[in-house]
Amino acid sequence: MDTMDQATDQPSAAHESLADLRRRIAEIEGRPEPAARLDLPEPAARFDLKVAARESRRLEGGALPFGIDALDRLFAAGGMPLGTLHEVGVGATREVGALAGFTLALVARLLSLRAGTVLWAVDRMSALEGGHLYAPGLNALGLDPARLILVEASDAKDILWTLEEGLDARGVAAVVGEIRGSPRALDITATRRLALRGRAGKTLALLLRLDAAPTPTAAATRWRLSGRPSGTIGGFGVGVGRPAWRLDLIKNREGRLGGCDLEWDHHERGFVLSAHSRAVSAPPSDRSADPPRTGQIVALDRAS
Amino acid sequence: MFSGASRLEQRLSRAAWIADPATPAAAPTLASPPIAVVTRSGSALSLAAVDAMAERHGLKPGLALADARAMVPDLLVAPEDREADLALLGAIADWADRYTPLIALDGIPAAWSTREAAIPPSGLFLEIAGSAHLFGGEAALGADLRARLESQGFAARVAIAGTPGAAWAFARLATSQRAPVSIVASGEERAVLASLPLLALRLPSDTVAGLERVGLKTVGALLDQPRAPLARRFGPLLALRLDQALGREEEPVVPRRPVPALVAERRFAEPILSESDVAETARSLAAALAQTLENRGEGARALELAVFRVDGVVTRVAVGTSRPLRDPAMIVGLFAERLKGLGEELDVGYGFETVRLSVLRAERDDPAQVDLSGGAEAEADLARLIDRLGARLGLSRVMRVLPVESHIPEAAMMSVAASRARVGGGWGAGLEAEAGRPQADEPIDRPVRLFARPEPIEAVAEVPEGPPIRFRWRRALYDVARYEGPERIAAEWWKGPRPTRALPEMPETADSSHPGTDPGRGADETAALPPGTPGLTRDYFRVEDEDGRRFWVFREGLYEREVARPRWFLQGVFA
Repeated sequence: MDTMDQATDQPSAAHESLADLRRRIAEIEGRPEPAARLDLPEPAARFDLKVAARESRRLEGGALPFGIDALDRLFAAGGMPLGTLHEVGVGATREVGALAGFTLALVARLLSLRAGTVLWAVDRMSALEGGHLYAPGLNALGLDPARLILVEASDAKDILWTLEEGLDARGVAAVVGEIRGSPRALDITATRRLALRGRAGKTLALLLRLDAAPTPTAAATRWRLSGRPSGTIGGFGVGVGRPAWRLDLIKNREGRLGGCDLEWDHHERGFVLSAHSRAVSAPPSDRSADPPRTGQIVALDRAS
Repeated sequence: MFSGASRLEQRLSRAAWIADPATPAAAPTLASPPIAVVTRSGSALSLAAVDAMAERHGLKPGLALADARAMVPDLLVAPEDREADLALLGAIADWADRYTPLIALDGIPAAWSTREAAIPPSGLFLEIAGSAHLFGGEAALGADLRARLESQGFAARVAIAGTPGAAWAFARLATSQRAPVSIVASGEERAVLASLPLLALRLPSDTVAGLERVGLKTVGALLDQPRAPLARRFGPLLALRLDQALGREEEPVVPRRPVPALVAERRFAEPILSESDVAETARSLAAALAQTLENRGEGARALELAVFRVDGVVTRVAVGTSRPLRDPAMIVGLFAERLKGLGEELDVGYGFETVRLSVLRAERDDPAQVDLSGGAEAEADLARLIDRLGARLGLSRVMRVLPVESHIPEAAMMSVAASRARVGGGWGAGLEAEAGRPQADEPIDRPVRLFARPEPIEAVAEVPEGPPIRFRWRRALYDVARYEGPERIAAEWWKGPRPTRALPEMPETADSSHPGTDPGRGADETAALPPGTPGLTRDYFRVEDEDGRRFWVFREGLYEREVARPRWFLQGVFA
């Protein structure tokens, strides 16, 4: 669901010089060039070899594709750009599950396309408030916990330092820093240093903000996440299904803004749009005959 | 072996410890008042130690305080503080590390003196056989040691002998104010020991009393006696002590600090004053060690940098690595990170006179094959990253997770320091292992975040085994829209019998208007039982509220079979 649409680059004298100027400024600042907007064709089937090949090509090109057009279209590179800093935030501490889950899903997607480990730094407050990462849960989501290195730092300054060190190491595919609140150490200069450090490489750098007031940082994108009632797994309408979130891109230095409703398929290790849920069948008879509760019943959509 | 071994023992007169460190204790002037340390024995106060000035006035340890004051009206007294004395002795031992790493306190442990308590240490043993040559010989080392201690305000007595027992004896009984350093060549111990009183042998006082009653008052007299009847009458300790003093029985000096595998050190004629000089020195020391390590085919796993300040303060910084390391630049980098992590600067004071780098633990480091795919390089890079992070934040804060065979959720995962863990996997959902991938319709049954202590919640649920309908967590109310479960996880019954617990009756609240429900309160007691405690069964539910937040809650205790009123807890949040 695109909420904003920027003007397309129509060639004209004024626009050309403006584009030139933009390109030169981008070169000076060291940002990747905003290339012409790509028109992405609809993928024929959801997961097939061609798509996988295209995705890994895009990964070489420095972007992690979501596999969902509504999101991939927001970036010129066709996916979440690697080598820059991204920020994902939630409103309250109780949404910490959604935040961790989405981030782990994103990292699982990245790690299924390339080798490497993920470095996850937490500060002690967020571990106390929101629990610690639970490895069997990571396993259930599709991320191998053997590829995780957990770092417990004492404050935001140490977390930023950990992320910087992680960006330099070769075996690290993604660095994630989890910060609760808005500490003073998290300001524009510190995050800008972090962003510049990662520029040369292809590491995914994510900053997770829990319960934070909007502060200016040098992140290239800022996302807002919230949980949504889940989709179905295996066609059962009753019961807790696939993890589902509402994801909104609220700041994007290199593209457009947008958002969508997202679900995670842990078997295929990919994201799906919520509208693409499978048909619902009647609950099996061995489930207890509870009186009908005020639950969600996912409507019958197209059969797949 | 014993031949050629020299022991050096120094005894510090206890009164000197309370003297003002600025004034040299060796030359008390008439202006300084006499000082004594008092201790309480029974109901009276008596002198435990006296300084030189008081000694001149005729005071001796053991005298009652009242008598002492009568003799010397202007006596200054200080209460005895054994712990402070011991701490000070430890600090001196750390300082004396510059002479040799093998230093021990010379107390007598309780096991040896069977009827008495342990004798607290009042001096140090230094094993200088391997290091005397670095200081120009034993005599020079002894003189240097005594002079430095004196400049710091201690009156020290030093004795160098071939066995610790002999050195202990000579330091206390064969030295004096005028000749505070005594050196006895090996082989001559017997001659010098012969004239000493029995106190020299570290025997319990009743043995000494018994020997004196029989008429044996010096060590020489004892040595002339046949051994067997003495041992029969006074026990084996007597023979042991004689043999230890003479060198027939080995008495090892057990060092206080672990002895490093390799040490490189540099001493400066002029003290160095800046941190960058220290770093530069450390780098060249590391280069020297790297050469030795390479010759042995080893790398360092634990290193320690010790800087000795001119006024005696020793600062030690230790780092560990996850793989054997030899590169000098990286070693110095780790120490720099460690200092930054500790948050303290090296306090230079008046300068450092010695910098020492020791390898505490080394490990075989086979030269790695050059891996064309770059995988080994990435792994090495990762190991270096772990070392750097660990040096700054603490090696235990950089962790990997390993699976544990347990169906108790809190115990199913273990985090270990990444520097110690070898990456093996074992979780099953690997990149390559298709078999380990979660199936398409397999539910996600474990949360991504777990609370180490499950948080108690107030839940409304059907009895006996219904799912929660509504619950309150951290003062917010959640209405359950969907649920899955229960998943029953029983306690580990093989670990012991179940306790029978009956919770106190809860008062009825207005909320229980819904027929058939039973409000379970979880707020009284503190957290749930630790994992593995034999006892209560848990029924886990995955619940989702209307806004799409997914939680993992459990009911603890089967209704009426285990507890009167089950409690509810929230243990995790799902994606």
